[in-house]
Order: sequence, then C-alpha cells, then structure tokens
Amino acid sequence: MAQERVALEREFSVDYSRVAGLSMGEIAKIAEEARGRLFPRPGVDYKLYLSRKPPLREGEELVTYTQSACPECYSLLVAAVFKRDGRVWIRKVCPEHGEFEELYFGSWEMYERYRRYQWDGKGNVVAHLPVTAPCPYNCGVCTRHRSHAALINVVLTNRCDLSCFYCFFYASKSGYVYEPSLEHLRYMFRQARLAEPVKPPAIQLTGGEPALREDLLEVVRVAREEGFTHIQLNTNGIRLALDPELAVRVRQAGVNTVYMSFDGVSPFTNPKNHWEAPYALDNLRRAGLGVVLVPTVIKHYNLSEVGKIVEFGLLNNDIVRGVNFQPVSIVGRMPRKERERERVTIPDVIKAIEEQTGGQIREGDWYPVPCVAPVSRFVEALTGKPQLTLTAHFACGAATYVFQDDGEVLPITRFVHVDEFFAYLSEKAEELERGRSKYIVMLELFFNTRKFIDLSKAPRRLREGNRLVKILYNIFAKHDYSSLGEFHYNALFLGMMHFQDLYNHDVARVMRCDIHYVMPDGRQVPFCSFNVIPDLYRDRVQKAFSYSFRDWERATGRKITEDAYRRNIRKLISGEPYRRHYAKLIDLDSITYEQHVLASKRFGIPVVED
Amino acid sequence: MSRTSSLRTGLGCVRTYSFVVKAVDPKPLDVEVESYLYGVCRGLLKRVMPAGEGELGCEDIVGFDEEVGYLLGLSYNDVLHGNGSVKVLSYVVPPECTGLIKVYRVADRISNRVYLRFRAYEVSGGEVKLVYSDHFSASLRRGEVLKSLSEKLGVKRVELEALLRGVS
Repeated sequence: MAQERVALEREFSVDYSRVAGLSMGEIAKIAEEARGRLFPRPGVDYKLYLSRKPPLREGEELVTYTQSACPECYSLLVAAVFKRDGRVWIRKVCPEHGEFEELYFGSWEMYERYRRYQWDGKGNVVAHLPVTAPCPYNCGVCTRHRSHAALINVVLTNRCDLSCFYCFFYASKSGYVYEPSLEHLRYMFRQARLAEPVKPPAIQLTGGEPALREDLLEVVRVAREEGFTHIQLNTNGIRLALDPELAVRVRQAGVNTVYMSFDGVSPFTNPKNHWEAPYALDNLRRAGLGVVLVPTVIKHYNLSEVGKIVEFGLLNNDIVRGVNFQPVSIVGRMPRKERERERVTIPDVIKAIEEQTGGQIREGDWYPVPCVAPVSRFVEALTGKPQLTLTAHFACGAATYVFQDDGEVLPITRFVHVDEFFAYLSEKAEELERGRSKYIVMLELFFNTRKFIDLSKAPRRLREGNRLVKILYNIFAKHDYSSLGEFHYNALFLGMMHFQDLYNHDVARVMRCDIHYVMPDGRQVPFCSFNVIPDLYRDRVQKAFSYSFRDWERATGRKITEDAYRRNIRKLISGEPYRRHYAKLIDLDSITYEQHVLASKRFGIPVVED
Repeated sequence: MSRTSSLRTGLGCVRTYSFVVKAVDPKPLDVEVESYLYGVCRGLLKRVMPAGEGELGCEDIVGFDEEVGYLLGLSYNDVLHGNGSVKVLSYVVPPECTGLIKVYRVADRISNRVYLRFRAYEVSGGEVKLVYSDHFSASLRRGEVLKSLSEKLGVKRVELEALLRGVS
C-alpha cells in the first residue's frame, strides 16, 4: 500500500510558485479540486477489518470496544479497551501486522472519575465533503463529528530554525517548503470560520517555526480580519529571545498568547530552548504578552522534572499564564520495549506532579476538559445563543488552576466546590431551558454562588470584599471577560493535553476532538488525524501545496540553510537573565560548559563560539 | 434546511436504520430508535413499508454514520461501545412518489424524552435528492419543521400533522 500511496501523492500537486500569486478566489478553485483528489482512498490508504474483536486474557476486564487504526498500514480495526492492574489498556489485532497493545490511561480510578464528566457537543453542520468513508478517513471535518472546534491550528510554514533529531516535519528534512501565501491563509481562515452552529473564536499559528515568516504580523492581521478574537503563536521562542522587539510587534499586531515549548528546567531535559527561554520570557515581560509553557513529557526523559516545571511557572507567574503538559505522542513506528520507556499518560503526569510538589497539587485537584460544559450550557440557556463548549473526550485532557498566596500554592479546588457549583449551573440551565425567568435565575445565582465557595480558604486578594463571588457572578451571569482577567491574575493554569498516536489511537476520541487544523485545501481536520495519520492528511496535503527548495529560494532570494540556528551557549549562560530564571531551581555551577554544549549538540542544535 | 449540499442516490438505495444501543463509555447512552419512511404522492403522505431487513454489516457503516450521525449525533462507534443491534431497513420507492420523508423516533431512556427527527428527499428521474435534514444540535420548533417540509415537498400541512400523531 505504501507504494500506491506515493503514487497518489505524485498524482496531485501544484506548482506553488504559481499559486502563491493568485487571488483568494483562484486559490479556492484549486483547493476545492484538490480535496477530492487528496481524500484517503479505501484499499489504497486503508482497509477495514471490523469483524474481529481482539481477545481478552486472564486478569483483564473489558471497559469497552472501539475502533483504532493499525500502526503499520492504517487499516481500521476493532480495539478493546480494558483494565488490568489498576490501569487502562488498548489492544487491537491487524490480520496483516499482528497484535498491538498499549497503555491507554494510567489509572482506572481516574478514568472512571473522568468519564462521569463526558459531554457531547454540537458538532459542525458545515462539512467540506460528504460522509463517504468511516471515521477517521473522512476528516474535513465531517458531519458525524461530535465537537465543534474550540481552537483552529494553522501551519504557517514547515521551515524551522531548529533541527531536533526526532523531527521529520521541518523543511530541510522533508525536502520541500510548505508556506501558504497570505491570500491562501485568508482562504483557510475563512473556511474554518464557516463552521456552524459555533464558530471557532481562537486560532493558533504554528509551524515549523511560524516566527520565521517575514509577514507574520500581516498573517496576524488577516486572522483578526477573518474573525478570530484570540490568537496564539506557537513557537520555540528562539526568535523571541534574540529579537527584543519581536514580542512587542506580535502583541501590537494582535497576538494574545504565546505557546512556547519548554520541556524542563535543565539543559539535559530541555535542550530545545533551555538557554533562550529566560531571554524570551524577559522580552515577553517587556511586551506584556502572556505565555503558556508547553512541556512534552517523556517517561525516561523528563517525567522526573514536572514538579520543577510547575515551580518555574509559578516563579514567573507575572508572565507565565499556564503550563500545558503534553504526555508524549509517539511519532512513527516504535518497538514495544522502547515505547514502554517513553509512554506516559495523563494520570502518570498528574501523580508525578503530586509527588514532586509534596502534595501541594493533588490528583483530585484536576478535572477533565469536558467538566466545564455545564458553564457553556448555562450561558447558552441565558443568552439563547450557541456557545463554545469544550467537549473533547475525557481522556484527552485535564486541567486545574493554582494560586499563590503568602508563599503557598493553592489549587482552586481547595476553596471552590467545583462539582457542586457545576451541578448547580446545570440545574439553573435546565430551569432556563424550561422557560423560567432569567432575572430570577440570575438573582438566585448571585445569592447562591457563595455557597460553593469557602472564602476562608481562598487567596487573600479574592477573599477581601467577597471579591471571588463577584468575579464568578460577573463571568457566568454577565459574561464580563475582564473579570476573567482579574480571576487569572496571580493564578497559574495547569493543563494536560494527551495527543494520540497510532498505538493508543481511539476513534471515539478523534470524533470528539475540538482542536482542528485547517489544511490548504480548506478541509478542517482533527488534531489526531492530522498528526497521527500524516501520510493521509498533513504530509500529503502540505506536500501537494509546496514549493521545491529551488523555487522557494528563487522566489525569496534566500537560502533555506540560512534559517538554521547556531547557539552561542557561552554568551547565553553568562547573561543575567539566565541565572535569574534558573538559580532557584538547579545548581547552575555544577554544569560545565562542555556539558551544556554536549546537551545541545546531541539534540541536533549546533553550537558556535563568538 | 439544515444542510445546503445534496446527496444523490439510486432509488434502490433508500434505507433507514432502527436500532437500540445501551452504553456506559464514554458516556451513558440508552436509546431505542425506530425509523419510518413516508412517500409523498400528489400532496398526500403514504407509509412505505420496508421491502427488506438485515443486520448492519461492514458495508452499511458509512451510510449509518452519514444519516444517524447527522440526525442524532450517534455513530457506529457508539454501537460498538455498548450493547445493541442495528436493523437496516431497505425500501422500494413507489413510482408515483415525488418525495420521501424519513422519520426517526428516538426514545432516550436516560432523559426520558421521546423526540422525532426528519429527513426529506425529492424524487425525480429515478434519483432521490436530499432537500431537508434535521441536525442533532438544532432544536427547531415542530411548526418550523413542518412548514419547511410542506414547502419543500408540496405536501399538505394536515398530512404532516397526521404523520406526527401517528409516530409520536
């Protein structure tokens, strides 16, 4: 099948150096033609093997059956999700490639608790293609999809200034440059905003390294013009560190939040941007642009440092708004033994945080993403308008908020009775849906909110003058989002987002995904189809709309190799920001210069001397 | 209409799905769904009885997902997650029909609600074309649905009201 796939890729591609100068209307015609031709083909890209259920063995108890793709040939299989030894596993058997078993969720207890919060969404009425294939081979997004997109991702370029050893996505390794024109991006943004009944408000500009685009500020402007009200920039932070004005410029252009990779506090756990992160944070501080740190967590690599990452976030809470942990998604094919060294799931990271923070942030402080759906339901019932609702699968993500109060770390669950409050909102939403007066309901909400808060345990600034009660009322009843800012002040959002891979792939999760990529052919594809089956989605479509190196270099007058970053470690570690950011967390003097250099080079990033 | 695109299928392909599903993962689900087909003949509605009935097979999954996914927000994946069975009902469309209405009656045993969902097709030149479909997220008033069906298929309103009384 692989050879046939390659043939298909050759069948449709455009000369992007010609497309780049076209108007949006002309691009739309090409994109619409491309969709059907790039669509996954049964028998070529995948087969269906749905008649055979995988066996369960002694000591295993079935949780459910689902569907999952074969890691070797992408064929759709029946998978069993089952519990064993207090954990949840997934098993599937491909008639051609045998059995695959993988850890699905590291705690049955948490799985069962999280499952209680599952909430299905409103889906998307507007599809770019009819349903003609089973999930996940019909992504576009299709009308059977359960969630509307809460966040749209768009790849601005596959160029990157880093050359991380595990990555095959960036231009220098993939052999082509994917970089849609501004008009093409406008077309893509517009396609994403066609969604009904809920239009995605937020977009994340990603790459490659999006900051390499010289027209980045223009891209931000266009995203605003097309209706996105919240713009995130996903970056490795190198450019932000080296160009003090970049943070100011992107903020002025309309970026709301920076998502910055940050895998640990030492050069050994974060060789990607350990040395530059302090400078990037200082520049973001000067610009007043908040940042969310995004650590990818790998068991043998940095699981032991998740507590310190939280601490780093808290120490820099003036500018770090959140830490969004991403348990590793295993890219490509990997033998089971190796996977076992890397695999962590949401419960594993949560438990590690509890251990490493001395119990300050406990397992029970975390809630799955769809737990907040009652808030959306209440606002919807109050306003009569469809609201953004986070309805991802409960195993996809979790979150909590922590506050700092007199040197103590205080999770929100210690002073807000979250379950009771959300149950109350659900009850009030039902009353509104039955036609009860919204004024009476709002009045009740105002008087009753305090029942769900233990003000004596709340941080001092929220305690004084019943501030917290007022803030919550303003957020939920008046939709006053400036109150949200006040709530966030001095609070750190902690999140988990476990993107899937081919080993733990579950169609039930794909169907509920609320983070979607918009592709150059206008299709909107769930994150875990776009990245988990790249041959059928990401790589196939981006390659079809790409420049050859020669064409890109001719068009821009630049060399692709000019992007490559060479790190000046000596200069970076001798700067005051470096020491200020890390001195409380690691013994800086115990790391030799040679160790710094080795850490960077092993990761694939060359080092230069002045 | 909830959807602007049209779907063309041959007359021999008209199918509906009746099913029961009970599941706890990823969320509790306990529904019994019955489906009916009505033909529009000279402005009147006539119940079309199934010509065949079979269990859902691999080849039916896409059709099931397309129809039931849009109308009810359920898919084959939900069936697989729980205990249940799906009957595929196939129909021969009477030649005098100019339109078809599929009616899905959903009994949700968790919320104790019973509700109806509709799909409507124009029949012309040996083909059926989708002209109306409820979407699972929409909560249209029944009057609006009837008005829309009446306008699109040229069927009398009283006929539709009688249909509703029959299946509710």
